[in-house]
Amino acid sequence: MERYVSPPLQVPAPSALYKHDRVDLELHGVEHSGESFAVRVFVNAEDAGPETPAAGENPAYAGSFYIFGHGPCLGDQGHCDVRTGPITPYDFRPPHPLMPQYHRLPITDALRASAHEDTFSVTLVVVANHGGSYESVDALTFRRLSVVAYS
Amino acid sequence: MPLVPASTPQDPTLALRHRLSVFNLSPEQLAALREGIAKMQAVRDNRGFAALAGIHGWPQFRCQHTQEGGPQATLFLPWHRAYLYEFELALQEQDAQARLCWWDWPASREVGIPPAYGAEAVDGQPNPLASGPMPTDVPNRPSDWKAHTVRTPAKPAELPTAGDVEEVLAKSDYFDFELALETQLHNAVHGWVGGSMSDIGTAAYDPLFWAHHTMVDRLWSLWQSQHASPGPPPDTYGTSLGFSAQLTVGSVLDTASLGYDYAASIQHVEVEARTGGGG
Repeated sequence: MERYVSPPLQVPAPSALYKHDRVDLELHGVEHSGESFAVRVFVNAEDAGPETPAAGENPAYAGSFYIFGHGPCLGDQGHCDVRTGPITPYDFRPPHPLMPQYHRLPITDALRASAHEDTFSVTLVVVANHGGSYESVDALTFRRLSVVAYS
Repeated sequence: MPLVPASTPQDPTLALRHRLSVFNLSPEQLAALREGIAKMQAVRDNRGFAALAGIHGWPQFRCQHTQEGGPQATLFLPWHRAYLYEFELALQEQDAQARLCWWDWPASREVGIPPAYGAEAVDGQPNPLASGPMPTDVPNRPSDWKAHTVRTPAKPAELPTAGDVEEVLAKSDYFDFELALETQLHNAVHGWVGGSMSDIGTAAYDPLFWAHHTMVDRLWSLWQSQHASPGPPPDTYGTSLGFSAQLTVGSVLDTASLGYDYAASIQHVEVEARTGGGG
């Protein structure tokens, strides 16, 4: 996907948000079998796109995930078929290089700056460096998004 | 008493190798690095540049990066430290004075690619640090496959800031630090360089890869000294990293035990040996 807008998410313990040390956004099952790309994360900015300022002066910008892509499959047929686990009890090889990834980004400051209701949204904007400038790309696939609060 | 650049120690096999910033290399140190890399690029067996690059990406893909399960499941930092160690030894077999150097990303936010790596030619000859040969025995090459590595860098000001680096170094938990260093800084710079550096399969064929990862390794070393901790949990120490030196996680925790450290700059003062019994 080029862009993802979450459904309304519950602000962690809304009456005590400022007591949390940290609120993290986690992405699980992130595919990385293609090009490298960045996922810009905005809080309560459902219209955010590739042109939206992604820097400290935009309080809705929480930060970015960066995915180091495997690149196109260079091998023979089956080279990039993901082996999901050991093929025998004696298979001690490391996991397949294309096993999905886990990413985590603190969104605490952006959430504090914009969460005035009980719920909030997260918008993910996907861009990649094409010839020296970052452009929108259809590169993001993931299985689950989580919001984890630590206090 | 003359102040001179780094000189050859009495016994170079016993001296700690100081890895320097690419911006602080003397002309002689940069020339040695270029000489060593050029010779490695010409070697076609297991001592050569292509053979070592092929461990990280195509065709072996043995590199370790974050994966499902989180940072506890990865060996990103130890694996790449061992990888750099093997590469630097192979480099020194080609030129005994050559050392890996680190790419200071925040210091590059005006120039972009460091000039030592960006200049197409040096003294009328192709700069071996500007690009490297790409593998040819690749069954499923894309139509735009090039004979040499390419880069498409974004704007220099989009490289990590000193504040970005300090924020990562300040993380007290090793897994927090490892994940942020890998996925926020390391991944971002691979994507910033673009071209061959932006794909795992081809990144290590670009000579800049090695300066980039030396910076990553330096930040781990800085974190270790600032937090008085090696980082990885003891139950990983016996895990093999799969290189010819049979390195394990536990054997790469201390850079000094691998014969190197990180320095910002070096000056040596040559003292003339006294002869006779003067007093």
